[in-house]
Amino acid sequence: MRKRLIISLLVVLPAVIGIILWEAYWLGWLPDYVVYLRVSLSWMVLVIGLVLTAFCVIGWAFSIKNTQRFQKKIKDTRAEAVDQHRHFLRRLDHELKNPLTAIQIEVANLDAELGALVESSAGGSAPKNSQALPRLKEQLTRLNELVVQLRKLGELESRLIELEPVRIDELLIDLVDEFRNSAYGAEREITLNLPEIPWPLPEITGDADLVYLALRNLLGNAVKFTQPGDAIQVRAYDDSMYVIVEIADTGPGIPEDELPYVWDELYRGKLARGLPGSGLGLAIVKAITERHQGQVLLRSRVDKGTVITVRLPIDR
Amino acid sequence: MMENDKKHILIVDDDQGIQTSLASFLARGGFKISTAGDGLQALAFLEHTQPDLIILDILMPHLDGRETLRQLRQAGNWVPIILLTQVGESAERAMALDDGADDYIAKPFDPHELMARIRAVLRRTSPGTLPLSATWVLVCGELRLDRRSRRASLGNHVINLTPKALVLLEYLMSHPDELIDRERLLDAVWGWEAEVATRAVDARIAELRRVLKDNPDQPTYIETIPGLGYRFIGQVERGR
Repeated sequence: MRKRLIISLLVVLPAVIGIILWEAYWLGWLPDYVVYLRVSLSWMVLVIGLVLTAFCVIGWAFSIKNTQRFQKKIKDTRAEAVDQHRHFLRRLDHELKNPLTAIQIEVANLDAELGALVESSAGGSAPKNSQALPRLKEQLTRLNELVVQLRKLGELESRLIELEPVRIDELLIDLVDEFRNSAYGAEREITLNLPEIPWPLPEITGDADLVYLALRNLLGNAVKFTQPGDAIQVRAYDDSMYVIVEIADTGPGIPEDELPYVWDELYRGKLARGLPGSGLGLAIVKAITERHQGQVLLRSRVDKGTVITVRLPIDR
Repeated sequence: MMENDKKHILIVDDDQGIQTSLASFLARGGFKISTAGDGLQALAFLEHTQPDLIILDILMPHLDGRETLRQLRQAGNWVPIILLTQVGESAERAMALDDGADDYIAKPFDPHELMARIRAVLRRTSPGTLPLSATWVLVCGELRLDRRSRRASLGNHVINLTPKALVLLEYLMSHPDELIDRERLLDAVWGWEAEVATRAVDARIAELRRVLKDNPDQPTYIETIPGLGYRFIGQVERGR
């Protein structure tokens, strides 16, 4: 702040001195002379040119410095926002955990008390067939799932990840197998495309369980958003820098106006609202990929389908 | 059952909601219950009464669960303790066992699961003796696990295990002869719930078997209970 004040004082100083002297001549405090200056045109254009350039250079230097400062500020603000966000997630998770645990225990208490009541009244006034408790438990399970996912997300951004050789092709074989054997997966046509010639998929370094979790979330989404009979293709290849996994489906696609938000926590698209889920699946995929210094990319066309590309670096 | 025969459990948690709900849940399960609001209260309680088991929350004001546990163990009190962990980090989990907790369960938990753990811990531990989970070196025949230096050896050879496989082996060896399902192993070693269950656990068990040269059909150490989980069947002893 002080520096800026001094600079602005220096800038107006010549004008102030000029005005004071001008006033002094007019008031007759100083003897006023007439000065004739003779300059050759060649020198004049040179001097004017140099002076103008000097001004421009000074101005330019200032603007560069300002831009740099501005960029640094943006970067700091962004880092701070990420940090605050992480803290917020942790606090949220923490504050939800205790009441949720207590509710869960109380529901178990209620269950036992109701059971005792039904037994003792032998079909009398006790609400024997009430569905309220099972429904309550169902909702509790949902809430529980959300808290677990939140914790997972918070942990993903901070925990140490294990670094060991990971065979993505083996993970994909297990993954596709798991889904083909599931009720929903069996109704879709899931194909797996792995390179063998001239070489198989190279190993990456990372945390196999986390990578599996990310890929599982993606294939899970593909299964969830498609209809029986739709096709899902899982394919992988490498480009000497990255192992690239693509999961493509012939599902309903994502409207263009929703695309910027799909990676956000707790965001659920219009199509997802009727379906089970926490809205954290893709955020977890993104966090895992970024922890592996990789990238994720989503392309989608309405009524055509969706392709998600995960790129994981081979050498780290 | 007579009041005197009931096992006595001390619940230590600063959250009133959990204290009261858990107290009535466990009382229904046939336990005698006392409660404390933080570590200091718990230590004061332990000066005049010795419960059969303590359920200890980690994050508490005044004296947290971890410090309470440490002070108790340093004073030579080996009362079985189940920790209620807050953060699901596997590092924290391994540390809880190192500090001499008998088991741990992450919030939010299913109270029936906690009940099952309490029963298992009470079955496993005999009063006044050092529990396996509080010993530094676990030995089973040729296999030796030094928890302080995080090293396992088979005969005279140090064996190479990934950190996760090591925590898994540690958990199995400190809960010998107990059927442990995959969900519980995940919760204990990975800190997550069932999601990556089958693959993650099975892959680490396979690693352990490969390194320990354990034949799954005729296991010396780890037995598979089809559809249910795993069991460490070797006789585990305290080592030096």
